[in-house]
Amino acid sequence: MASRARAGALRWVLFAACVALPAWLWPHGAVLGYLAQTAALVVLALSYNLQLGTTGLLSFGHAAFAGLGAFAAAHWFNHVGGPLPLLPLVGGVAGAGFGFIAGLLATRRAGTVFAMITLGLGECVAAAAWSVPAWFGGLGGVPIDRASGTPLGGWHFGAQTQAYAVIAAWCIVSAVAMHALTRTPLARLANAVRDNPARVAALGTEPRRVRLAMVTCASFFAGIAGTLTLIDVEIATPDSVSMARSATVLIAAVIGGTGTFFGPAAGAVVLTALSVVVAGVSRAWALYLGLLFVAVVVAAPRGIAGIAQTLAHALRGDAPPAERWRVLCGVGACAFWAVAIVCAAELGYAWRFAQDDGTGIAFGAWGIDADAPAGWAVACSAASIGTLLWGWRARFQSHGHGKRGDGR
Amino acid sequence: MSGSAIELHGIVQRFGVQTVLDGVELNVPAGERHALIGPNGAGKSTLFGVIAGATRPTRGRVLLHGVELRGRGPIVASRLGIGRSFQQTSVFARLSVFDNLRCATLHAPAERRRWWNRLRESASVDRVAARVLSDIGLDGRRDTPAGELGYAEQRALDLGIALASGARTLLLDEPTAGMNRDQAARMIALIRATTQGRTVLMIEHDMDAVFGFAERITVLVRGAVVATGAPDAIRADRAVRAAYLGEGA
Repeated sequence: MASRARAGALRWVLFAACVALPAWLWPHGAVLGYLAQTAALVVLALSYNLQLGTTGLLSFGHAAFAGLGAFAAAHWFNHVGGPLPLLPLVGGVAGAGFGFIAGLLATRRAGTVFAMITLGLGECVAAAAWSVPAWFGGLGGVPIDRASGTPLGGWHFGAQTQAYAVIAAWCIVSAVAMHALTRTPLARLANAVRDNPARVAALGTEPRRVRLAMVTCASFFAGIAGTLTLIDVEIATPDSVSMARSATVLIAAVIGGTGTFFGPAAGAVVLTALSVVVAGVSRAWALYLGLLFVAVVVAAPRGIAGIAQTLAHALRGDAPPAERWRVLCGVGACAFWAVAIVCAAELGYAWRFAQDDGTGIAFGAWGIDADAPAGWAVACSAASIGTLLWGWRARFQSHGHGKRGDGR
Repeated sequence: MSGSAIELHGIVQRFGVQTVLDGVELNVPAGERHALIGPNGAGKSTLFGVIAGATRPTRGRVLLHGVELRGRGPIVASRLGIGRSFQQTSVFARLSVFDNLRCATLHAPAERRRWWNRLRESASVDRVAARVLSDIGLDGRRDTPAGELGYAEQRALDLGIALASGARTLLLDEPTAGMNRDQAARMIALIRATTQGRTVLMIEHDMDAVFGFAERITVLVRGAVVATGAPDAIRADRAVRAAYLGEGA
């Protein structure tokens, strides 16, 4: 019991360190912007999982509540003002309000019906963002000047470090609050509704009311996440309510793993890294994201969190060697396949764009010519090594007890 | 306890042109162990659905502990004291056994109105859940996800969920279905031990179990009640033998 509490505390220390340390070590504009983007998506993905993981509700329009919260917060800040660090509360309350109204329409049924209604509502909000420019600001969005709020203790929050401090603090506080929420009997009842709504009804609780409560809570934290993005970029744009944003948070939650609390946060980190860092050096980042998503859904439905658990389980002291080798072969195979796919994709893109750019060079630093066989040879050999490892993995299968074996 | 736990008057249930229940009359006094038997397709599970509020009857009145249900659905039925176990085992598969029972205990009459129970763990909820856990003999499986339990254990947990919800009247739909003779006997003993002082209406196919367990038996054939009475009278009843027992049970 004590060791479990310690492991839990360690996780939170690690989480806080991941949010705060990089900003403290490299307080540059680009790094802070990237971190703020990550922090906002982490909060959004965790809030999304209150619906998907906890209550079993697949939503296609979650970003709408983040965006609506951000617009409400932007208008509030421009017209009423107040200190910037309290602004996410405004966004959260607005998000929860819109979430409650949408939930009244959508929560009667779970499953496909819920998914379709959220899809429709998400489209409505996205359409409204373009057709009601008075409120959504049209193409330009609604800008704010974050330094114009009430100063707090000598801080005006115009500087990026101060803004990031607000964002980081809200990221950690929201994560702690959401974790506490998932430990309540209400969340347990939401789990029960996810597993068997008819049984919950037979016990005497309307499943719909539990779903509505959870959707409202999730929308509250989504509104906070939207406002964190607003604080970061100082503008609420129609992009923030788009279906693409809703898809992003869905992908982040699934890649990370919806079965554990921190899974979606890990997914958000991976997704931001792909869409910011990798997108900066490669044209194929969207392809990688798509392949990763499909690979996770097909081979590791418990996501990054599930892979981490499988690895930890296999590497602990008393694990049977067969299980350990099986997992290690699986990880190795995936690593080699990843190398093969990246080589092939980069060379393919370089070859394809050679006609436009005049250069057929992939991997800028090494300058590998897409027409030369060297790069392709690497890709092919990596693919075959990966396949070989996968074959070895199958040989351990019979000895291992394949119950936990969805780690790819 | 006094009066009737369940009273049905002229229940008719039609699905399209098919009449599944045709004027069912039933009276289960509070505190009675009552069995409902009948051949396949007699409408037993449909009748359970009607009593529990899951399906609204085409015609007829349902009185639960003296209050008319008026088609108000399963939530009102459960508030009137009806607890239910399902024919298809119905537990919360990804919750632990103990959490299954804690969810059910939240609905007990003593806990239902305490809204703060939804936000904070409550010692009294945990106590009731722990007692039911040991009553149904799953102490050793406390933290196992319900989906990983064996079949007989899941049936026991299904019963435990109905017990923990504090229902005065339990509808048990074939609690021993799919069990071997030993498991079935143990299940019946478990039901007998855990439902002291409550009303039980049970659908059952195992005739030995029914005749040992129930104080009264109602026989349903093709949507109508053929006979109601003590086990010995039912065994002797000519109409019942013709319609049901003679068919090879």
